Amino acid sequence: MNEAAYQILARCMRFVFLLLGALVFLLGLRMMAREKGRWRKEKKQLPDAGFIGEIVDEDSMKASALPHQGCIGASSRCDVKVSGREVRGRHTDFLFVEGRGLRITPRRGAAVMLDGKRIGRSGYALHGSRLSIGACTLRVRLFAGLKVPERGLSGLEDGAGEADPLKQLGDGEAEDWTEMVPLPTDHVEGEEDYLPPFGEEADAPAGPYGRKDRGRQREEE
Amino acid sequence: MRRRGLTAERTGGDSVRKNKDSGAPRRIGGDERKHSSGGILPLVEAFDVLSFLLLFLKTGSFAALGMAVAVPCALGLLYRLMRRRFYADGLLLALTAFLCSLGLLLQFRFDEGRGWNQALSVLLGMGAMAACILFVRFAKRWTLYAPLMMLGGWGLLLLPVLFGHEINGAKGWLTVGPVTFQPSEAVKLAHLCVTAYLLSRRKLVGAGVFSLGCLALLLLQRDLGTALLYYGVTLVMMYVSTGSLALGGIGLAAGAAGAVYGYTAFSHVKRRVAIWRNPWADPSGAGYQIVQSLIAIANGGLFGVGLGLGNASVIPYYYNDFVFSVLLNEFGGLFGLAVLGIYLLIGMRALMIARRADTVFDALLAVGCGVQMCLQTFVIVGGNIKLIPLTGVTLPLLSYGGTSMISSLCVLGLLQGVAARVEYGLERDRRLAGEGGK
Repeated sequence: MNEAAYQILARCMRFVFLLLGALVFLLGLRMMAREKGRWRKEKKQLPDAGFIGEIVDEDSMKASALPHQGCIGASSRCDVKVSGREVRGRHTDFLFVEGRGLRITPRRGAAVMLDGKRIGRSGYALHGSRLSIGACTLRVRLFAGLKVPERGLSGLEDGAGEADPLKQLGDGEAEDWTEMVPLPTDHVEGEEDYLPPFGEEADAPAGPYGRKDRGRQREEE
Repeated sequence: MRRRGLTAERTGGDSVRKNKDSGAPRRIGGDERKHSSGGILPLVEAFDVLSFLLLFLKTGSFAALGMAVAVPCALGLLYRLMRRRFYADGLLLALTAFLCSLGLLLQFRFDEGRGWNQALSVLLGMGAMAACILFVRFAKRWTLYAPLMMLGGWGLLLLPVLFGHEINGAKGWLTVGPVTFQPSEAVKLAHLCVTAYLLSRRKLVGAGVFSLGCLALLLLQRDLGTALLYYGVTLVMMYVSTGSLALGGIGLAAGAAGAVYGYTAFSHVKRRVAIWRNPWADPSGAGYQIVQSLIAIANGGLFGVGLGLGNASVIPYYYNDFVFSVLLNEFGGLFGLAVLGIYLLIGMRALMIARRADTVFDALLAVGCGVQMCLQTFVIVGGNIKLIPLTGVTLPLLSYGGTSMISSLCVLGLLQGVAARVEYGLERDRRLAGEGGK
């Protein structure tokens, strides 16, 4: 192509390239904004999204939503705030590990009992497990459908703090705190065998899962 | 435990909306979202076809004509493969595709040999990106990986100090047979993963020690540009994990002290600062590179001189350190702003992914990847336009260099891996909502 013709073409095409570049940027921005809106809408329709269950204070019967990872303690910065004697500001950390349960890792010097046994470095709580933190006793409730091992009945029926019949990891075992969760390929089956809600809670209104639901439940009460 | 009451009533199972055509309910998300690039991919492909065709008309080279067909096809195929098989984020992929094809075009424009090398780097980089996605998705034994990465990282950074050779004042290059590479680019990935892991375990001291070790080795290499990136990423990740302004302040003060030390201890730093302050003092000597860059940018104006009509090749190292000046010269300042906007979008997307992450590790890794990309872009573009003194870092995905291209795509791969895990979290929530409604 001769030089003069190419110059004219190239000078015209620079506006086309500018338009394409600007459109890529603007469409990217629009896609992010729309996706953010879609995400928010979807999360609103799934009010328990991001949570894996709840933890109930057996004394006050106050329930707190359980996120995937966080800490339990007396500090207002904790994800699950509990108050009572011998409860530290940040008493223990937790992380949900699919296939294992809720991994409880007490902070240095903090004592945590899991179903009557003291946790050393870490332990796994399952649905219905009882945690004793200072003077507080907390009950763990996990959503149906989560991939966790089944818990034996004896540990729940009497609630007297007997050791869980299932093997639990405890003292001295070095476990991976940030154990990663593989993407599932199959629908989880067999999760419907979870035990019914324990004791007096069987007829009680469903515990609050999200902030909006807590507010609504208070209104209903 | 079955979910009852409010939750089940409100959700009633999966979220549904009506199909516009048949009125039958269908699920939100799922396949329709998985394969969407928001219309960006067709624009990228159009850009590739038109730009390479124009290059063919300029040079008459059939390689350019071949690229006009091959590049859009390859990018389209890779996009679909990554989305379907690796659950990669569509927006990030589309933006990465645009930047990679722009980088290919700029290299092809001046030298076909470099263009082919760049194309090969892109293909290898995409493979590495896929590997990084899988690694983040499925890695479990971080108690084993993290120490290995730490020791490996330090070892790799030590190698150039002992056996490396100097390029432009920095002794950060290693030659193994026919291949020359920069170990700090590979260690960048280990630095991100290890720092995220240690900070998620609240091991601030450990993270600090690892980062300081890397910085010390980079100082020994006299690779201050890369040291600046490592420092910036560590500082931001520490602040995000602790929320402590005091710690951030101490980090900034330490960085300032390090900068002063670097200025006094290294003569090439003094030279670069002097050139930055007044390149016109020696426009044909030490200041030649910056002066030519500024002239090229000014020559380009808002709309550029046109593809193939620029003369930015007079700038020394125009194909890697000053590729942004070449872009401004031929495509114009407005196009350059759009490209910078795209880098910013990548950073914003990383923050969005971090906010949605379920675990602290995922969130920190996403933040680290976003900061890495944005900070590197800022440092090199700032050097090109004389906003800050020039450093030896490359512009991600645009600059010539196999190591740089592969490591940038790997950083994006780590981010994509976190995005895939976030997606999994949402799928799990939908699944649980469906089961709770039964």
